Amino acid sequence: MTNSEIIKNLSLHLGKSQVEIKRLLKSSTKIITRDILDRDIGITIPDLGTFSAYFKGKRKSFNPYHNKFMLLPPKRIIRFHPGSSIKNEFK
Amino acid sequence: MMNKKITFANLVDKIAEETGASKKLIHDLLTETVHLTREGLNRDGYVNLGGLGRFRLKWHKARYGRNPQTGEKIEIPGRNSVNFTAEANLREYINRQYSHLQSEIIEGKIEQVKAEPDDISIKPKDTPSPPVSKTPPPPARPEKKEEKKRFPRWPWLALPLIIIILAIIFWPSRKVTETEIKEQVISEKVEKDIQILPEETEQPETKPVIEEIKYEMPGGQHTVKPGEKLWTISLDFYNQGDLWPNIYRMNLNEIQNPDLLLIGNEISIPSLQGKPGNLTQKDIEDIAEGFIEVYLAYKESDNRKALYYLWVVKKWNINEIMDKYSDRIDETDLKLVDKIEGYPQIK
Repeated sequence: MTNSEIIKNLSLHLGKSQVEIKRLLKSSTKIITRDILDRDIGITIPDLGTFSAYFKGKRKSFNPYHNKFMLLPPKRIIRFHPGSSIKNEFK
Repeated sequence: MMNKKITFANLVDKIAEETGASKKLIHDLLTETVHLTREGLNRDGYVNLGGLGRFRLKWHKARYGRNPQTGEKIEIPGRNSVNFTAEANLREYINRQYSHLQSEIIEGKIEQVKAEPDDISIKPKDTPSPPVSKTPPPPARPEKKEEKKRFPRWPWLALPLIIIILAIIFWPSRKVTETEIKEQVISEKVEKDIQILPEETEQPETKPVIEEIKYEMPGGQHTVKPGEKLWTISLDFYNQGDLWPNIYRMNLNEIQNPDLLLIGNEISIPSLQGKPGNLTQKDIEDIAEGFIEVYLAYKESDNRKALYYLWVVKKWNINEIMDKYSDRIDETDLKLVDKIEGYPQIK
């Protein structure tokens, strides 16, 4: 299901215009990324799962293309942990 | 890992504050999107949420496992799992403090391994020295030995002189008696150096011997059978699959696509002067030409494998072939290939 389909369906169900729905979704994703995940806070959405960000330090790894060892820089990774209800549904 | 968590109700409050919409609307919006994602996963197997990322169902195959307590074999059934990949913008935003960092090359083990052969080449020079002790030692011997330890390089400087002296001793059939006296005096130095010399003299003798012996890998005609590729044919004739471009070079009219052989095609296979692993210069030039033909064929069909074949020839550094085909090779490709390090293992 694409993003535009979701927006269409939401506007039908909630009785709001598509522009309004777009604005609300945009600001909500902004809050989730800027205020929650970026500050290392997790968020559980019922019936879906948990979103969280964790830190992965720098590490050494082998690059088979160049045939050499590389030092990879640290980074943060966003992780989704599916909830039990969604796990059981798609078993 | 994260330490804190925020509740769903708090999230709804925050969004409502920021957007100015009612809490009920936001609550409905979020629950409805969750509902829709489940529906989408059921229907299509994937859902794109703009700004956040993509959900996708991943199928894990059925497999066999063992009960760790009893050791019984159990069949674990296949299952789906829900995967989420964050959008590129989101990943960049979260990693903005590390964006200036890049991966660096570490000098790894591979280069240390390459350095070993140099060490081995020094060892044989040291090993012949013990037989020197077998020669009858004059009384002044221990002092001389100590001197050599302090100045280990001077015998090399004296080498040419000693060679000339030796030539004088052995060529004229021992008319001179004075040289015999010299022999006794210098015997040590001389014999030590003689034993180092043969190594250098032997090497030029052995090389021509290898060149004289020609392992001719026989060529001939071959008709393509079902299931055969150029690789397997080259494995049959040359005992090495990597050399298949050499066969392709001879059959440019028969084979249009190097990845496709027609059953019943008659292919002529060129013979090699040397064996794989010990090829002569002429063989390598022929094979390099084959590699470039393969590069040109792949280049026409926009195949990404083309660069590999150009890289091999470039690393072999055969200028004649490169000059011959210089009109047909892309300069951008050559620059790309130059940046790739390493060396092809085909010899």
